[in-house]
Order: sequence, then structure tokens, then C-alpha cells
Amino acid sequence: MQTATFSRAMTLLFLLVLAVFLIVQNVSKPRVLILHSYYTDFSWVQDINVGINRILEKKSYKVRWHYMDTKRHPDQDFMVRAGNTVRNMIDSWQPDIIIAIDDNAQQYVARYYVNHPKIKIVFTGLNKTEKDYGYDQATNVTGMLERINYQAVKDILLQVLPPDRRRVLHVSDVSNTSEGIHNEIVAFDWAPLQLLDSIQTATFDDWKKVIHEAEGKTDFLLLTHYHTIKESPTGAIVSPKEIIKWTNANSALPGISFWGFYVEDGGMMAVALSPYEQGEIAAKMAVNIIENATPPKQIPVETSHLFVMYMRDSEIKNRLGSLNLPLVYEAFAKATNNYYE
Amino acid sequence: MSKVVASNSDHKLADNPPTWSVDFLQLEKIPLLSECRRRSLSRLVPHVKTRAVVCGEVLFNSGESAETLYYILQGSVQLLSAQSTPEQLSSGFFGEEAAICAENYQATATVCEAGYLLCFPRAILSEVLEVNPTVRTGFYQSHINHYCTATHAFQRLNEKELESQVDIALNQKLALGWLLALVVPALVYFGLIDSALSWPAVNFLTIFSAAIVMWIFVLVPEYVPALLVITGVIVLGLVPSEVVLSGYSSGAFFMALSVFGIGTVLAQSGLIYRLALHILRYTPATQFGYGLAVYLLGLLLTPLLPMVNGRISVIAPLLNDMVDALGYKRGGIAATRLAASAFAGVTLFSACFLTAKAINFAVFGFFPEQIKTQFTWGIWLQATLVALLVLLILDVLLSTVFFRNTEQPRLRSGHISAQLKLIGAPSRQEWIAGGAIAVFFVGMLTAYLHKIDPPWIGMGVLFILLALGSLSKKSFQRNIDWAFLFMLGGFVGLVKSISFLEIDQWFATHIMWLGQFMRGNFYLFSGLLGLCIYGVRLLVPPNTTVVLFCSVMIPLAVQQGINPWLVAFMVLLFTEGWFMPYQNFFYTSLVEETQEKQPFDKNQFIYFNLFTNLIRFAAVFASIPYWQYLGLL
Repeated sequence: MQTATFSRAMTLLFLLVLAVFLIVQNVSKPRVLILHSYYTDFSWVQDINVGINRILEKKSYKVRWHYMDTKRHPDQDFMVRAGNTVRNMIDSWQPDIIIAIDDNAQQYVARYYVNHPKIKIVFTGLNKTEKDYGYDQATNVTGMLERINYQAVKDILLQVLPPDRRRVLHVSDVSNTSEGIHNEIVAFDWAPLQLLDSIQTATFDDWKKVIHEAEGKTDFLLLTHYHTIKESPTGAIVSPKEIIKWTNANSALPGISFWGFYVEDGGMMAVALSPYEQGEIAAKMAVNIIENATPPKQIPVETSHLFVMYMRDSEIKNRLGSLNLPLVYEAFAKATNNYYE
Repeated sequence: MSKVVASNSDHKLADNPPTWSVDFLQLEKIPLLSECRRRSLSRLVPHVKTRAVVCGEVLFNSGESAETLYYILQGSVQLLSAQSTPEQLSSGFFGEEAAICAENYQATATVCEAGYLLCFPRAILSEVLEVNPTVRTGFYQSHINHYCTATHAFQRLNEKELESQVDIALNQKLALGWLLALVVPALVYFGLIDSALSWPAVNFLTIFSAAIVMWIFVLVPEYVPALLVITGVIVLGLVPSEVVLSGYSSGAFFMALSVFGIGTVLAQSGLIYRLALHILRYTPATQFGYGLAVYLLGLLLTPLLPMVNGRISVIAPLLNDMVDALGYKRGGIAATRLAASAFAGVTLFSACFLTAKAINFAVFGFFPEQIKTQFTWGIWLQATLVALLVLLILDVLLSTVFFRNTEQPRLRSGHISAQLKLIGAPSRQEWIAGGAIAVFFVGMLTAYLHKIDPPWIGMGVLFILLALGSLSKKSFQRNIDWAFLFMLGGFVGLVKSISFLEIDQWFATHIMWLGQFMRGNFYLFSGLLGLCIYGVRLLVPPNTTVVLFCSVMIPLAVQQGINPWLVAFMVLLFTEGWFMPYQNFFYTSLVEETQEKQPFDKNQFIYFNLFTNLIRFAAVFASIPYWQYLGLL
């Protein structure tokens, strides 16, 4: 009888110690929240994840991924609701680090944790400035700015366009991200190119009107974000592929973008920011904070400096015609598997 | 084989003795015995004897001890009893009292025409029928038939005809099902081969359509089509095996496994019975009070036992006992009201708790990862609170109005106290079961502290139960619904494959109008979704309905920025609605489990159920503002 009681007591003791061990180990494991502004259907998001995984997949952290999906649902109500959902989750899960990607993640979530005593923020894909989200005054924030390499685009355009055809028009949607890009484009010194205008369109009809009117008045289109354009002011979002398909069919102008998705959607060419770099650098910063206990403030904010070429052969032949594009760009795009037929 | 002929020199033997030798093959040809397992028949052989009988010989008298079952090989026998007209038999069995454990024969058997009989001793029959219970039921029927009137005989004939018609209809349905299982995939394949879908996606849909036909026509057990799709997908290499098999490593799979284990221990411990007695002890002695008590008992069991059948098994005997103990007239309004309350208690809230029904785990597995982390057990319940309250209040009110009557419960004072005294102090098993439940729920509700996800809390508790020996190896093998777990893993893998092949996106673009409708007017969308599901459920089994609707609606909801949990909850809630008994397996279970005492009126019960379907719609509509308040919508 005594032996049975002793055996039972030892079983319970073992189970208790096991439970304590598992809980303590689990609680002490670093928790990282990867918070995307958009959804996985966006190649930008997928490629950033590739960059993050290169660093984090070998680490034994608890990692959660959350996609706010604000590209497909840009209305204010949805974005606020998406932000609240994530903040509830953060308050409950208490991650050690939030890697917040793109501007909406900062706007609706991360900025609420500025100077939080336990949670650190690593931002990436930031088009606006640190000041816009209060990060410039924060002690728990570092990250990477997403800055378009305007000079590289300018160099290409200067190589391709003859001196009498150097008028450029920027067209985008109306969104938080596009607002930041618009400000940068307007502020950049494009000379000797001539920036005719930088126009943000809310509806597909507006977009069509701008593209139609550009014909004959401009020589090159700069197309950045077009993912929140609606059928009508209260209508549904138009598929990005449909917008580029329509633009290709209704405009003879060559187009260039700063993101690879433009070419994936059917566009001609992009001097794109490297999403891999955005993900990889942010993940490295998170590892630095976790493993070296480095305060985020001591990690300098970085700016993107890598870019990747994307090209679509059929569109280049149709639109550039006799204009001469140096072969090195084609070779670069082919070498990085970004050359489309 | 042995052949024993008991001759009787005083009487004349039949002219043409049969060439029977009692062997296995001959026994297998005898009706009823042919349904026995072969090993059982083999055991019978040495004990069966052939007996020659002569005209006028009395085989047994009414009231004599029933020691032998007889089967007529040749000749005829007359049965004479006080309760029925004399019956002359020239074939089949008689003296079935020996097979059904009755003590004495109820008739006198006299040989009318000399011949030969097979004799089966009672002792060996008892052993054989123990492992062949359906054969014993057959002997019951055969026994009853001897004492039926001509009208009964006519009814029997009609019943046989009806059975035969049902068999024909069933076979026709199966034949049509298998035919469609060939035709539909062919149509899908040739219809989609030139579409925008990739080659793997077209092939996947081809195989999947065959599985859907199998599910709809119930051609094979429910988990088999899922295995077919998985096998087909892997053989053709349509999707990486880690995707199509991901269901078997998902949290949903392990959550279901652990809840099945905990539920088994709870059901076996006797804790629920004790809990039921305690609830009844403090219930006000009114019809409303007892109705509410069984309702709440069912509600309490719902999150604890994930098998609805398990909950029915708990509540059915209790219902039988209560109807008698309260002095309700069987089949009366008060008894039917009690039955309706008991049934609603264990079934109506299955969509309100993550752990209430096995299919809920499959749906949970369909969600994107971030929805899984959002909808923990507690949040799921929180989101269904308004629906739960509306279901509870309206159902109680409806049953009060619908079953108005003047019967008064007459429970003897001290009845329940005596029962509680009889079962004594809680056993070790009860303590362990209670402890396991407590650890499980406390663990889930404190996940924000220890950061362990719910499936692994469940697995931890299951480990404790196994380590303490509360869940034996035999129980682990027998009582966990492994077939369902196979199906669950398959379902999750299928939905992941659909997503991997981007079929969901392709499909969503074809039903974009529905998505916009989902965003535009959620009330209207909910109502129409409910009506669609009720329509589909007339033909399609519940689990298949859930899988079909969820595999389409969840990706669509994600694309439209609607929380997919909302759609999944509505699908689960509406799928449980029913009009006809055949639609609801759990109702037929309740009928079967209470068949002996027949405590309630089935027609009234079904009529009442028609109205409860409206309550489901009311629960959804009332929840919409609450979901908006919670930020889910």
C-alpha cells in the first residue's frame, strides 16, 4: 500500500516538474511578431518573408505572422479594425519584438508601443519618415527605411530617352504609402528630366482619364502603387493586374516602376527595391536585440541600398522601339530570374 | 462431422430421413444462423443434434423449462398457446425461448407430421449469441412472430415488403452514386482542362469531385473519400506531401485527439452522473425547473464531451429515469417537453464551443494561422455569447409555450439524496477526471501567461491521464474516434491543398458578386447562407456540408476582409438544423437509446424542432451588432 502511494506521489511529482520545466522554458523563449501591412497574395510580402526566414528559421524563437491585409481593404474602418485586432493580440501574447512591415503596420499598430517597457519595435518598408510615427523620439525602436533609388531610375531614363523626349509623369493610387512616395518624388531633382506632375487617383475612371490625357504630353510613365484604386468611390478594389492590362492596352507610353510587382502584373520594367534586403536587415536587427541585448536606440536606422531589375521582354520591344536600353540591365534581370517573356 | 440421430422405437420414423450431417456449411445455410460469425458457427457444430420425431410426439409443454431451440428439417409441428391461435409450422425455428434467455416455453409443441429436427442446447446458444447480439434480436423477432395474429402476420408481410423496397431504393441510390462518381469527375476534368487553372489544380478538382459525390451519396464511410483524395494527390504529385498531409501535424488534429481522450475519461468516471444528480437535487420541483435543469446539464456537457453521441448516451438514460421518477405520462406533453429540453441542451450549442463537436476542430484547422491564434477557446466562446443566450432563452420560451400542459412532477422527497448516498464519495477516477478538466480549461484560459498554445495544453493533459493510467491502452484504442481523426487530418490537408493550388483565388474571382454581397449586407447574406445550407442539407450529410461551404466561404471571407470565423460559425450553426429525422443522426440516436421506454412523443418532438430552426436565424441576426461591437465585423 505504501509502495503504491509512494509510486503515485512520484508520478505526480514528475508531472509537476515536467509542467514547470515546459512552462518556464516556453515563457523564457523570445517571442517575435512579424506584422505585415498587406497579405500573402502580394509578391512584395512573400519576398520580404524570404529575407526574414533566411535569418530567423534557424533561431529557436516563437514566431507569429500576422497579415493586416490593408492593401486589398484600404478603407479606414477596416484598417482601424485590423489594427485593433493586432493590438489585442499583442497585449495578450506580449511579444518581445514586433517587426512591423510597411507603413500601415506602423500607423495602426506599432506606434502605439513606442517606449513600451518590454516590447521593442523593428520597422521595415517604411516609406514615410520616423517622425511621422514618433519613432524619432523613441528608445525602443530601430529599423530600415524603404527609400527608392531615384538616382538609378534617373540614370536609366537618361540613357534611354533622347534629349527631346524627357518628360516624366508619376501616377499612383491614394494611400498612406503613396503619400510618402509622392512627397519624395516631388522633392527629388529630376533635371535634366522634366517631372510633369505626380498624380494620385482614387478610382479607376480617374486613372484612365490621367493615362489617356498623358498620351502625347509625356514620354515616360512612373507607375508606383495602384493597389487601392476602386471601381467607384464606394466600390470594390480593382484587381492590380486588370489596371496594368488596361494601361498596356490603352497607352503606347513606356512605363517604369520601383517595385517588381509592376512587371509581374504585366508592366514593362522596374528598378525595384530589394524586398529580401528589407526582410533580412530587419530580422538581423531583431536577432541583435534579442541575443546581444542591444538597446534598439543603439542600432542605427538603415536605408535600403540594394535594387533589383525586373523586365518584360514583349513590353520593352513594343514600347521602347528604337530607343536603346543597355544590355547590362537585361543581363541583370535574367541573372536574378526577373526577366519575363 | 458428427451425426447423431435420437431414435424412438415406440413411434414410426419418417419415411425419407434427410441426408443431413450437421456441419459448418449446413448451419451456414440456415436463416438467422447465417448471420453469425463463422467462428461462432464452428463452435456450435459439436453440440447440435439431429432428432427424428413421429406424429403426435410432444416436444415440450407450455411452462416447461426452455432448454432447447428447434429447427425443422422435415415434417411439421403445431404450437399451441393460451395467447394465440394454434400455429402449424413446417419450416424454421421454434422454441426460441431457449435462445432469448426466457426461462420457460410459452407454448406446447406437438409433432403433426413425422420428420427430423435440429436441436440446439441452450447453454451453447447462450455463449454463441453473446458475441452475435443481432442474431439474438432475430430470435426475439421470430419468437414474437409465433404469437402474432393474422393481422400481425399481414403487417409482417408488409414490413418485409417495405424493407425490401427500402433495400431496392438504397441499392438504386448506391448505383446512381457510383455512376456519378465516374461521370462527375470526367465532366469536371474536361470542363476545366482549358480553363485558367493549372494542370495540378484541374486534376485535384477531378479527384475532389469524386470524393464529394462519395460524401453526398454516402457510398463509403465518411473518412474514406478524404483518404482517396490524399492518396490521389500524392500519387500524381499535385501538391507537396507536407501540404496535403499537414492536417495530421496540425494543432487542430492534436486538439481533437486530446479532447477525445479527456472526454473518454470524463464519460467513464461517473462524474457526469454525480453532477446530474446534484443539479436535480437543487432544481425547483416544477416542469419548468426540471426542463431547465436538463437543459443546463446539456449545456455544461457540451464543451466537455466533444462527441454529441457521447452526450446523448449520457442524457438518454437520465431522461428515461426522470420521466418515471417525476411521474410523467410516457409520450405525454410533459415528458416530450423534458426530452426536447434534454436534446436541445446537448445539441443546440455545438457551434458555440470550440470543443463541442469534432467537426469544429476541422473548421478550426481551415482557418489562416492568425485566425487560429485569435480564436482561442475563450475568444470563440466570447464571440458566441449573444448567440448562445438567444438560443437558450428562445428555446426555453418556445418549449414553455409549445408544450403547455397541466401535468405536475411528483418526485419523491429524498429520492435524489438516496441516489447520491448510494454512489458514495467521489472515486479516484472522478477526482482525476475533474482535475483533468480543470487543468485543461484553466490552462487554456491562462495561455496569455504561460504562452503554450491550446492544442499542446490538451496534449499535456492527455499525457497526464495516460501516465496516471486513467486512460488505459484499450480505452485509448477503442474510445478515441480514430476514423474521425483521419478524416479531420484529411479535411485540413484538402483545404490547404486548395489554397496551395490557388483554387480558392480562382473560385473567389468567379463568385466575386457573392463576396461583395457579403460585405454589403451581412444580415441578408447570413439569411441566404442559412437557407442555402438548409437546402443542401436535405441531400448532403452534415460534415460534408460543413466542408463544402467552409472550403468556399472561408477563402472568400478572407479576400473580402470579413473575419472567416463569422462565416464558419454560421455554417456550423445552420448545418445542425434539421426537419426530417433522417437529417439528424443524433435525433435517431436519442430515439434508439430511449426505444425501450419510449418516453416522448416523436411527432410532437419533430414538430417542435421545426420552430427551433428559426431560433438559429434569430441567434445569428442578434449576434451581428455584437460582432460589430467586438470589432469582428
